[in-house]
Amino acid sequence: MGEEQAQTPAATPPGIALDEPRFGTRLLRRFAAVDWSRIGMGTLGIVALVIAWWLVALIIGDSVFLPTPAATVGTLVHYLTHPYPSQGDTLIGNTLISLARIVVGFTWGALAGIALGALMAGVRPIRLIVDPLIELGRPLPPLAFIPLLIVWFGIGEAPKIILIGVGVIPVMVVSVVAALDAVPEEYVEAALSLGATRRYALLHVRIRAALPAMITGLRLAMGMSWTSIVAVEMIAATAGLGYVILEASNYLVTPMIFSGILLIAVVALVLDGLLRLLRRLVAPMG
Amino acid sequence: MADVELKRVSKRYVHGRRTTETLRDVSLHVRDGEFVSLLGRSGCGKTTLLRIVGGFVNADGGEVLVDGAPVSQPGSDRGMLFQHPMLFPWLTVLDNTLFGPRATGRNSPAARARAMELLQIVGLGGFEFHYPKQLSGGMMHRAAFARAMMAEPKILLMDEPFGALDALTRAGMQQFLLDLWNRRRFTVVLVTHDVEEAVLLSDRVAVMAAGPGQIVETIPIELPRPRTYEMSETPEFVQLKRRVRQSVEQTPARGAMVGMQLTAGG
Ligand SMILES: Nc1ncnc2c1ncn2[C@@H]1O[C@H](COP(=O)(O)OP(=O)(O)OP(=O)(O)O)[C@@H](O)[C@H]1O
Ligand SMILES: [Mg+2]
Repeated sequence: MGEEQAQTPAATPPGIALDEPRFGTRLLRRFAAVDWSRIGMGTLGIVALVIAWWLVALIIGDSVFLPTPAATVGTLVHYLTHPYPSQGDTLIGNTLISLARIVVGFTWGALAGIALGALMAGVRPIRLIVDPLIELGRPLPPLAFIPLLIVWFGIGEAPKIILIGVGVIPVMVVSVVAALDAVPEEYVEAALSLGATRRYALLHVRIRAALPAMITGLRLAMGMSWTSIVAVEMIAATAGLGYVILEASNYLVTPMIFSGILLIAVVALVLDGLLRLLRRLVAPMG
Repeated sequence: MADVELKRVSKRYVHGRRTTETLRDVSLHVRDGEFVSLLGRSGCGKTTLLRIVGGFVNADGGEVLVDGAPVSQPGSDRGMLFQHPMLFPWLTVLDNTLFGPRATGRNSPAARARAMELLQIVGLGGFEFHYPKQLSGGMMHRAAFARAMMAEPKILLMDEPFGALDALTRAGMQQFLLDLWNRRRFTVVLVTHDVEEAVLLSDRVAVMAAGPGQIVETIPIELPRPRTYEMSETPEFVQLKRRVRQSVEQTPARGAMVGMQLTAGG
């Protein structure tokens, strides 16, 4: 439209009087929107499970078969700061070891998977070449690679971190490709007709629009990481929560087995919560 | 100046060993400030033609000139509105409106003030900080309008922009578009298969036929401006509507699309 036609009609004064909520306020509001009824119902489920566990444990009355929640928590709290097994690390230490492996393995796997997925979504020949490889590898449980990785890399940190990545990559590739494919072409076209360059439209529209779905992919991949790390720690490790659980099983220390499982659940929940938080940040309206 | 000239534009799509001739020798001249509708049965190539003007698809033959310069890619001189508003869900209404200025490095307090003003004009004052999901369908379309207008396009290309709205909201949007166009007189190419909409809004209606897609007739709509929705009951209007509808109905129905419905009241 030419300038001469772009006058403002007198009836509609420019509306700059409104003030935008400050960024901090907006952030607060976003997280203050907690759904209390959901939290209430969720807590109810957990309480019910603990009560059921307690009742069954009391009826059976065999602490090796099924310790009570109290006995389990007692063990857990004690060994948080005491080594288990006695020549090993504390539960906190073992948790941190597993966590570190997860973080490193997950990070490299996720980065590699995102890069590969983005390339496949953007460059057709790459997609045609890599797609069958991913499809071939995807049904294989990562655990099948453990013996091979031990032969190649021994039982140090390398095979564990590699294993986690190997499990994460296909999950991320599949979800990144799906996320990018699902972005309507018209988003990009709208951006181009607003003057964006192709590069800007790719970064600020196509990839941006795919972010929430990619983060959902990260959550799935995170689940996969736990499967890998616990398995490899049970087979070839001298520390970590998987190792603690297996060790406790060998000596029939059932409360310790439960403690290990509980710790995994708690740490996994926290990591997943972080990813959900991230998703809420990038997709303000869900 | 903002005129669009299509000269013997043709387009083929090849799928496997079959070729569809989607457009053959389509010529059309849309003058500066003119409102032209493309009307025709489903599948006759309206969207393809509009996307060629938009620069999203390249023609196989012929020329597309905007202000005398050949079109080869999308640009902010041609604003595009789709059937769905295509607002970016991660941005507020205001940030959606400011997408163009940001993408072109022209964001400024002045641009922001202009965006606020445009949102007022389209009736979204007070909704600047809402996300698209918090708006109704009609409001989303108006926000998409504001976003497109922000780039100051010389030409607005619209592909059934109100096709997904309910009848009442659609009528409201048509009136809104009439008022906006009346004030600013930008050049418009509107794709529709709603006869009434075409007659109400346009200076000329280009009737398209399928197989291969072509313009069979261009019907001038010589109704007085400014127009309002109430005019759709006048005898002149009804007569023009009948004339346009007959023209479309004479075009051959295409294969399985025989049952296509033309939305028209009269
Ligand atoms: N990307 C494409 N690949 C192959 N064929 C296509 C493509 N786009 C359009 N066509 C073909 O071109 C013809 C016209 O399609 P187009 O979408 O332009 O029709 P239209 O008039 O907009 O129809 P509608 O009113 O249903 O939206 C159709 O036969 C369609 O199959
Ligand atoms: Mg169409």
